[in-house]
Amino acid sequence: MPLPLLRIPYVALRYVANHMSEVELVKISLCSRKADRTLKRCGIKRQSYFDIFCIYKSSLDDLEHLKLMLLEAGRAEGGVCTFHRLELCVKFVKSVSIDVFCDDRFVCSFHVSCFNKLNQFAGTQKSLMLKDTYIPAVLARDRCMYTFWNNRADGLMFLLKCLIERFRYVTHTLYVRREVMSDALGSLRKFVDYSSLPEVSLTSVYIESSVQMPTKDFRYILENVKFRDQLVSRCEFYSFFKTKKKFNFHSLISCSKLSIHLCHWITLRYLLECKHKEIKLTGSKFTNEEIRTYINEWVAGKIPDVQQVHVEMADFFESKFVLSGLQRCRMSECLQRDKSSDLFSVFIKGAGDKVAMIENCRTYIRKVFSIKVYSDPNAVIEEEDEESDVSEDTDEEEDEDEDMEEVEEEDAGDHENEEEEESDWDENMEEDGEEDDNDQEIDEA
Amino acid sequence: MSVENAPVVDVDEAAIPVEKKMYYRFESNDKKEFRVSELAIQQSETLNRLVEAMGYTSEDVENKPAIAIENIDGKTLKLVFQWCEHHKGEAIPVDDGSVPKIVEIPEFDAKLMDIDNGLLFKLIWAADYLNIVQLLNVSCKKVANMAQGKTPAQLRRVYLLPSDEEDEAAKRAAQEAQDPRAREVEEEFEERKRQGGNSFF
Repeated sequence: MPLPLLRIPYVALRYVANHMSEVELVKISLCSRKADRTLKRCGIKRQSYFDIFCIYKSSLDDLEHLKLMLLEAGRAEGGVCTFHRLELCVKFVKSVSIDVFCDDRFVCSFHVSCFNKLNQFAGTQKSLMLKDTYIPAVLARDRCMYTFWNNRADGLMFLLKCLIERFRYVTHTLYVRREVMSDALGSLRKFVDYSSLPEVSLTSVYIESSVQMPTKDFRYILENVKFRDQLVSRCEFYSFFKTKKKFNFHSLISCSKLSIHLCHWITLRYLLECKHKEIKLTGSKFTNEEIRTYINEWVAGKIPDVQQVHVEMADFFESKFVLSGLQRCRMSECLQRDKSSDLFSVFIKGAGDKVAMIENCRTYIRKVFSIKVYSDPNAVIEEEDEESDVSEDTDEEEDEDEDMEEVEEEDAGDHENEEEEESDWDENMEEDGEEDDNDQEIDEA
Repeated sequence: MSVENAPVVDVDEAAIPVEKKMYYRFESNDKKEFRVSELAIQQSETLNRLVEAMGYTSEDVENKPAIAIENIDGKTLKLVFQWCEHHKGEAIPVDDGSVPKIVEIPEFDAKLMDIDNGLLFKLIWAADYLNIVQLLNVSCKKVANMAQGKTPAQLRRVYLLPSDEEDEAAKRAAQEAQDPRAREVEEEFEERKRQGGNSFF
């Protein structure tokens, strides 16, 4: 027989409430508006689940955290929580999982598994009821929570939609780890499609190196992933995925920060057309000629969005060649910025009040082109002193030639190694190529 | 009037000095009578003030009718007086508005409260009405313990907490039952709306 708590006199109810923990009071207040009002009337200060979930992290399992979080968010005005920010990390590792963070604090994590694997999980059987849908779950011995679905991709979408409709501010992060299973790739594609929904805000995509994923899936991610808020917030795309040499890509990725490792497929045309604010490319095939074209286009104001570029080139960066004919300038002292690398940099005047700080270390030569863009309306254009410039240049050129020789000598050994590495890489690529040509499924083993 | 011959507490009459001990007689709303020692009554602030105000002598206690406690039934009152007799003479916690967090339920109290939730609910009401602070404390602790490890759905069942929809439905039903005219007006309004009338008046 139940005990009608709300019919207990207020004085007694205060005693009951005082003997309860915060989380128990939150649970009762979440049961109904009347329960919440009654607790308030007997002097119990209302607490939100979001204020206490960190304290009770270990005393509740992940499923309870999820239920309470959704209930708490649902009692906000209009059933949508506007005071807290939710971050959903969707991970494709050995299984598909969602890590839930609220205001940068971890709340819970649950795996999305296939129903036919239910018997493989030992632990406590639980259940979750969302939108009149009964979802079987298992709390495994390692305290991981597994939810089971007839179709994993649909299950993932269902869970994500249940979460995002309760919060106004939700961001998503996608992690594709090297252990990703081939049978999860369908869910991965579904998530990529989901990122293009107007209510979905994706902020980061991380693809690890050695991910066992066919190139066609990688291409699908590149072509279809959408970052809705790239113009208003930082949206990052990181990829360490190893593509074959023949791989090419002609669309643009709609993120504000792009970081690609082994980016031989990124072309000059891509660099000129993209709208990224920050670009980091390693293993590129860019030549000094192409970088020169790029910087000239920037000076002409045709790449207005870029703020920072770091490119590992195929050749050694030849600043004289790349920067010849460009207007040097000096930045105003009043501008707040890090001045530690000024000595090793050249400042180039761009369109409007833009100034590019280009790394130009004279003591050693690198295969790196690095540019940082500032807005400085008070930048002073430097007059070119041709004679001194030439004499300096000749001296420098001699020095640099010597340096180059030294570096090339030193590099001779390295190049041999590089060639060896490249030959290994070619072999891998051939394998990849075969895989890709035949569209083979990745062997799970 | 049915009088319970056996008092709720087994009192060793021989051991009590007759001239000093006084047993008051109380009657529940279902006409059950109880004899309770003066010392035990002190646990209840309400009853203590009442008997002080009445100023009964030993003769009065015997000759006058039992003091009626209208709001509490015999079963509950028996538990209350059993508790009071067991804890007589113990210090009464000062009710300064702060409720102690850490409360241990003594073995006797645990056994006494090994009852169904309906009776426990009545016991809490009685403890509140009679202002027996320590009984209120332990009985409320028992109620609070019921929440341990429960989900909101389980708490709904344990504490009979209706959902918002159920509350709304109950509120509507109560309003309709209270004011049948309002219901008629509403029906008339709906009828006129169906007939295409723009205004009710």
